[in-house]
Amino acid sequence: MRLRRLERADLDYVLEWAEDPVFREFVFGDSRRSWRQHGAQAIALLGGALNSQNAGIGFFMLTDDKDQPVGLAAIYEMQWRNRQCASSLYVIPAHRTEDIVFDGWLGLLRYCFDELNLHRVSTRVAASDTTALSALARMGAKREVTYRGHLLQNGKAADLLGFGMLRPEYDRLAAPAAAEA
Amino acid sequence: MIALEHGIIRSSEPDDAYALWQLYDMSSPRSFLIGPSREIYIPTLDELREMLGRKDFLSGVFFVVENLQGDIRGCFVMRSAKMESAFAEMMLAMADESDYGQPLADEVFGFIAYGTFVEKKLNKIQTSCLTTEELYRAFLVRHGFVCDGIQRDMIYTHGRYYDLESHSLPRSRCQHLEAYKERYSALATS
Repeated sequence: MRLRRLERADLDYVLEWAEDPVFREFVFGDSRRSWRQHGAQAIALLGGALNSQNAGIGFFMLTDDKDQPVGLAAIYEMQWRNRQCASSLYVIPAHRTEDIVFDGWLGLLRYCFDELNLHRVSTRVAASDTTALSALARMGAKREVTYRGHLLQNGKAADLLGFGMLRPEYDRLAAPAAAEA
Repeated sequence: MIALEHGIIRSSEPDDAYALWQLYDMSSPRSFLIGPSREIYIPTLDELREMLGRKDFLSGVFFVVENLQGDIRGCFVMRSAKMESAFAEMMLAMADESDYGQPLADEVFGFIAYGTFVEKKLNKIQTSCLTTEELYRAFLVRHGFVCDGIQRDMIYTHGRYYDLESHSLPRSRCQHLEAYKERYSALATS
């Protein structure tokens, strides 16, 4: 898996993914929001990321070995003083396996800790997203907060789980991979 | 203006800037100092005055708490109200941590609960405190808030990281809501 900057041509993929409720949840925080009503807002958001001067944060395309897009990653709520950020990851249904989600998160963490030199990376995941939960558990991310009824899923309140990873934990995770390389 | 037994609650005014600025005391870190960007933020006196003069502040999103002597003892704001999920985030700052143990703080909380659960018909109040703010934490627990978890190393200030504890109060756990309803709806109509 690779992460790369979002390009204008990628917006076509984004439109393709709009049918997936998980993607609408990733973009809007609620799968019920229709793309017809809110699509322009999402395109403006992603288009804004293309024009942003700060290329280090925002949206990134997750691609496979053949440079085929398989998902979208986001880095937001950047707090330079606290040296931390929030992150989220979307993987298309055909590739939504624990291994690919794990690789996607690992790439995102590598970028946050090794490139941006952060101290902490947070992420929030719906309690029903079992693939992301097992990938995060495998990664050693600590489950820190349970926001009860914080999320709307199909019109019903659902729990949102907050995870955090600190630099020493990332170093322990990255050390075997670095030794292998 | 809402007259309480131990003080009053009123909308903020630009003239409150100096008194409120005194609350931004950096000697001990407090969750109140965490700005919308989740970083410790200390405004200058001019910035605060300008902020209090803004239309949205004047129309009553930021409230000031005075004791019976007319001294400003705190302020509060309900921010980022997410109507879809029916919850709001409370930011309550009393001048001194020991003020959270005083009846004035309890009365202010009653007004916040009334505004959130009765007037706005929301389902949950969300707030957070640093793990070092023991008196504020005790105040939250006393009013029925439950700890949702602790985010490690969330805030960097005074040369070290601080953990941030998330608390929430669902409507079902709000004690004395009926009493708040009776008391504040009477005050609002009087």
